[in-house]
Amino acid sequence: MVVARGLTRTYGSGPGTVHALQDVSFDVAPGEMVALVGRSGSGKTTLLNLIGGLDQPDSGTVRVDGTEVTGLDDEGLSQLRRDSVSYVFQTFGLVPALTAAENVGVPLRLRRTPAVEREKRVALLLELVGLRDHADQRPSELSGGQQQRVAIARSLAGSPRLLIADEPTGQLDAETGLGVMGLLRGLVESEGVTAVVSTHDPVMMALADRVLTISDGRLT
Amino acid sequence: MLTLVRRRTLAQWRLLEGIVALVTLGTALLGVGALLMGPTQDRSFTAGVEETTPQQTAVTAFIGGVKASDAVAVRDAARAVIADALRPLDPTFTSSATSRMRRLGDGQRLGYLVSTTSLPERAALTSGRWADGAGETVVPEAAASRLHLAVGDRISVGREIGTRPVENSVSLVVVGIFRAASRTGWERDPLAGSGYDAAYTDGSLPRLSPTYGPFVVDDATFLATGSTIDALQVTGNPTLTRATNQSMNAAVGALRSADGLLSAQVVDQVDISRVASDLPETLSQVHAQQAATRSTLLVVLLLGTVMALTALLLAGRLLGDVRASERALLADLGLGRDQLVVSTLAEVLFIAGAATVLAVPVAALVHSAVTHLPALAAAGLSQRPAVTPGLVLVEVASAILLALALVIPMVGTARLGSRAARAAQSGVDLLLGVVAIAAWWQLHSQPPTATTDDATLILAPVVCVVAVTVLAVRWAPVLLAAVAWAASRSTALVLPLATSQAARRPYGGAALALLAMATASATFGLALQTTWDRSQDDQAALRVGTDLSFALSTPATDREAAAIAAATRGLATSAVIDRPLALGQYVGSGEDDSAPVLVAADSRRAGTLLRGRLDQGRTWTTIGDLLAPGPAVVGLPLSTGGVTVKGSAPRGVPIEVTPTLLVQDASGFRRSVSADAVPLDGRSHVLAGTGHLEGAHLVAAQLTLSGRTTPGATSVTVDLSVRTPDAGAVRDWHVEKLGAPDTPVTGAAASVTSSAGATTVRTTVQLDLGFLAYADGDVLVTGFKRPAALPVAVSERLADVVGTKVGGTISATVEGVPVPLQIVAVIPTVPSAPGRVAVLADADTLSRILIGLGHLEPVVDAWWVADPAPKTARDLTRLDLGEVTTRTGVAAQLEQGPLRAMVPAALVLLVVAAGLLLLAGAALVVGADRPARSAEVARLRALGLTRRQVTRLVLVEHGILLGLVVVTGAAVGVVASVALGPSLVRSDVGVAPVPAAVLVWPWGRESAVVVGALVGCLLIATVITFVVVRRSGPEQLRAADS
Repeated sequence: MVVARGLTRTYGSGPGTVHALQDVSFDVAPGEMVALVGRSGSGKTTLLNLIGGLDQPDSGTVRVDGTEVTGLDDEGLSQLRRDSVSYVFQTFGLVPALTAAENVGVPLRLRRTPAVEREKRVALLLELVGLRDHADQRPSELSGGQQQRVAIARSLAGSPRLLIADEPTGQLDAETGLGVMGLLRGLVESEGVTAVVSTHDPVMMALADRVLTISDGRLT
Repeated sequence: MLTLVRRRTLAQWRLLEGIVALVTLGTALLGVGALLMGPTQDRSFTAGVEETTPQQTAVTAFIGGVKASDAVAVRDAARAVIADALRPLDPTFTSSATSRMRRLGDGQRLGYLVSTTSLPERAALTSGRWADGAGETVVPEAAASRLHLAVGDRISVGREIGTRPVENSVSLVVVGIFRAASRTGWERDPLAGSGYDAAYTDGSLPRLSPTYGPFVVDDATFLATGSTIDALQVTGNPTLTRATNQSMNAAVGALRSADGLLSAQVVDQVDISRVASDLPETLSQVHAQQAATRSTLLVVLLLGTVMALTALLLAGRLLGDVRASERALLADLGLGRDQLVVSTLAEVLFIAGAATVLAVPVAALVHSAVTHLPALAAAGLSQRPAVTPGLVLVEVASAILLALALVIPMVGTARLGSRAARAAQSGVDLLLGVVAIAAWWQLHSQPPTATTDDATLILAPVVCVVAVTVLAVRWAPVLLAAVAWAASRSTALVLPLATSQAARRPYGGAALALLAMATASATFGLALQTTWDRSQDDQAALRVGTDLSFALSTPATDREAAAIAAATRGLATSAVIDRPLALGQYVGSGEDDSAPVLVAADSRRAGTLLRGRLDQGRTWTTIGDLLAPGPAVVGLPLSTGGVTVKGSAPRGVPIEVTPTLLVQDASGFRRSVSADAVPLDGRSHVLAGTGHLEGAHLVAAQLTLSGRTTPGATSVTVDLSVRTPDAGAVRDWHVEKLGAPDTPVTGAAASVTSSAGATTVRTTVQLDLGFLAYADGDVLVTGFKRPAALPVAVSERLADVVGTKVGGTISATVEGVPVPLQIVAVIPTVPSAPGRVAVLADADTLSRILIGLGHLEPVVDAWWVADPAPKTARDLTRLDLGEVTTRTGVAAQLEQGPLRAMVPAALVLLVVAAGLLLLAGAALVVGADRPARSAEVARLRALGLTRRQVTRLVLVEHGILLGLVVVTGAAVGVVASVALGPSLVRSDVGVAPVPAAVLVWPWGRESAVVVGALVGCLLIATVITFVVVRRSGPEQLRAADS
């Protein structure tokens, strides 16, 4: 599903140059759940951003589901994110002004899904993450765990092939984080999604099919 | 702590820059207002006073019954009293002395001497020069022509009339002939500057006498005659370039005691003395105008201040939000609230200081620019940029006041729970509604004559605009939510998301209120300015009554009428009669403008000539039709052969007739032509002086029959013949007895006969010869039927005070002639008599009635001209026959006079300030949460939105919000304009204008303002949106949710 080869990403120049990634290569098989671990600043987020096409490497390539991500233009990248790749952010990334259901419905609107079908899908996904009764609540009215579950539901709304989650439990307490991780694991299996999850959490690592460790921009 | 503040300031410099700019804007606005109300109003006072007429500011001592020997001493005493009262204004003096009436020759003719130092200012020489030597005199044109005097002729002015008269005659040589320049300045002249009155009386004379004068001589000549002085006038004219509020107030105060001081000094030398002046009234009017202007300025300043405070509250809140986490952190670290307040105050004072430094020069420059606007420059109010201690003080105080508004939102306050907040909001809304209605009611119910600084005029519009705006923007989120709900059913992405975001984002009432209030203020200010302008035009139209009014200084002669006709050739004109009127028992209510007045013009040209607003869809043409005089008077065309009189009486009955002909020229002007007595001897007599009347028409003739004969009754005939081939066309001639019911005339009849080349009007009169020995018999033959009543349109005020309506009749007296008035219409007000008890009539009909009742003298007081060319006014002015007043000139004076020009300028300033605050508010609303918005954009991009989609999304969201708020503001502007606009307009004397102001909504300019506001807001939104989208990147994906 994911084929990364020789990824290098550098920020800044001169003495203050930061080598975020240095010659990183790895593969992720379809349906696999990979945990990406490493200390803060090790390059996890950079690597996820390159996989999802949110950032461009200085060198190297990324192929997602056979598509050369690094060769796509802005429109192609948007289409990739719309159709194949979805994100779950550490800070949830919900639109504050929209309700839980509306947030989940954003990817469906991007695909111009008819209203009836969209509403059914949103209801199903909220049911899936256990938030059916919170559909009309706005993010500020939900707990951190609930917000992250909404974010996960949203990430699945467009039936992505690849789910990228950047420390999805980073802002949650241990118990809530555990619930979210279990949910992610379950959905990956039930929806047949490939997942790359950056995390510090040993439980998440345990739930993953494989763990990639990154240190100073290199996979170890 | 200081280090923290400094570093934070550097980090948030962009936002702080905006806040400093806002405080500077508000402070500068207040500074400009202070300068306009301070130095500029002072300057406008002086300029306004300088524009008054000398009569409005002169102080005159009127002294009656002075012996020639006391004249100099009395005059000096009067001068000293006036000089003392006007000391700060360095007065210049004129004086005049009018003698008691003296005999002219042996008959009943009277004349009087005048010595005056101001004749050249009040009169124009038509020939010769002014008198400046012993025994020299100048005489009025009317007197000279009737006394057959020319330059170089001598005239003897005989003994005085009255008790203990001065007997010696005065021989004078005429060195010049003059004509009064206007009616003003001649009010105290016995003949009002007309030079001649056929039947003068001052009440003390035994009978009406033909009177001529004044015979103006120099002071030495006057004193040498030893004449008793009937009226001595000493007039002090203040030097108005030195007028200040203080000096004028001091003069008015001193004037209160001047009368008593003069009386005490001259009590033994004069019969009466009085010191009078319009100066107090003039000063009061100037103050009233200043107060009206100040009211508008204060409205502008208050609205500007409220908007600036709102903007700063918004800015403070946004800054507080930006610093919320930092504040929480500092609080966790142990920073007390007091310390937070102190650090915030320090920062705010820094902002105030920076704003002051910037605002002082900005205010000085903007104020100078405002005073250089064409209207203010024309009014003489232009000023160079100047920084005064007063300005600095105002700016410092304003900056601190405005900057302090930042403190509360920056420090943060406890927020109410949602239920408590809703309850509080409902209470506030209710209060705002009540306050707005109360303010509107107060404004509408105030007396229209309020002339002082009126808090209602100032506060009501501000309170209403603010309250209605706050209430109106409450609906913006509700409306947006409705739109969002409607859009949510679609499959589209951008619109549903944008409307949902716009509806649910926590913009805060202050943000929406600021944007709406700025738009409302701009549209309201513009509508008020247009309404104000239109009202001034309406007032000018009604005040002049037509496009150009040419008020004659003396009653018109045929020569003058011809000159005026030549100057106005090709234009619609009308001779106008503008006279006081006695209405039955009504003589006025005691107010200055309550005396009834008659205005008569050519009703057939009413639609073209008359100006002023009518109601009920009526036009001046329809009113004119109601007043129409019927078929035109034609009369008998006169030829070079003149008019021949042939009378016959029974043999041995010596009777003679003295005809007075009434002729009408081609323009319709009528005048009388007197002829010498002709004996009724059966022979034809050509009347002397009728040979040059070719082209005119004989329309009437008064025949005065006299003779001393034996008692008995007889019948005489008088034939008036004109040599005109087609004169037979008009055969409908009428005859009436004139004079008292008891008259030697016992019957009369008229008939018209035509023969080859001649037409004759034969009047047959039955006479009581015994009566004729004691009194003349007068009959009048006319080529028209005298109307039974004068159809008039009366002003609403007249209808109110007299209690009459259409169809009613009123008995009136014009020029001593009883004229029944028939009311055919009630109109809001009569042109040229705004708000007065007045009637409008047809000049021809009135003329026919007056002629029919024996009043043959011309009664034309003015000429009105429609749509004059610019040169028409110049041509008429050059005739030196009177004063030209144009509607556009009066409108310009009302709109651009020094005491008034600041009103439209202030309203323009309001529009500009509101526009700037609108843009600043839009920038704050759109740009304040830029970092959070960038993170949000990054997340949406991560969800698959293209750059274009996300740009459209943000832009549409801003556009919908800003558009809705701007439109809401415009709607508030409309409501405020309709509800308040006309009530805020004041006349030049600070009272409700006549006619009442009506709202004018300038669609073009208002649309431009609203579209400009929208475009400006969208431009700002576009720029900031592009910045937000450009700066959104993966690095923001980890930013905390806003």
